[in-house]
Amino acid sequence: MKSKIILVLCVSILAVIVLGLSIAAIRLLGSNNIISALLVTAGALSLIIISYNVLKREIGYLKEGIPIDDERSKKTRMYAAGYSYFISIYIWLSLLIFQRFLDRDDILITGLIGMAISFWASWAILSKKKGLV
Amino acid sequence: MKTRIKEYRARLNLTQAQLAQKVGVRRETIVFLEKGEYNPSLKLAAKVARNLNTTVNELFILEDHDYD
Repeated sequence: MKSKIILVLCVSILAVIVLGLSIAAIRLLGSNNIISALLVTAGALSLIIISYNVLKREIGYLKEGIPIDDERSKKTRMYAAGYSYFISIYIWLSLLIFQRFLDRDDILITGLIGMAISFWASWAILSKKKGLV
Repeated sequence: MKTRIKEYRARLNLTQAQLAQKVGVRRETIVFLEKGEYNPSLKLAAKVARNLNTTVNELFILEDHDYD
């Protein structure tokens, strides 16, 4: 049951992100910014393709009765959160150094995206790491 | 750390996915456990041992450097 809730939550978050990217692409296209619109569309498409493969695997596991979350995946997430916390501190510090040259909105968006990327990168590295204690 | 999970699993004709299902973990966790690349909690080690009809001591072999 818990696995199903996690899966539904992931699909919902993904749908919101893809919808947001699609709206951004349409707006960019409207303002004749074709290259940026193509980049955003490519990003949305690659997100859909990657997510489709991951979700297909996870649904297969769920049908077999294998949980989505277990001891190792929880530990991996915990370690990833720890690493990304330290990385985020340095991201925000470096953004503060350059605050004179950036808008407040740019700083906030870059900082938040940096935090998200640092978490996912740490998670991706740690999930393949040997000897996780 | 060395483990004898693969050996015991083969004796019971279980696949990694079947063992994962029995223990209630992901298949990747079983893969890492078999290679000795993941230190499980005592609870998980006991669960794996029980599903393979053996003991934790039989299944997980700690080498001298594991105690460092």
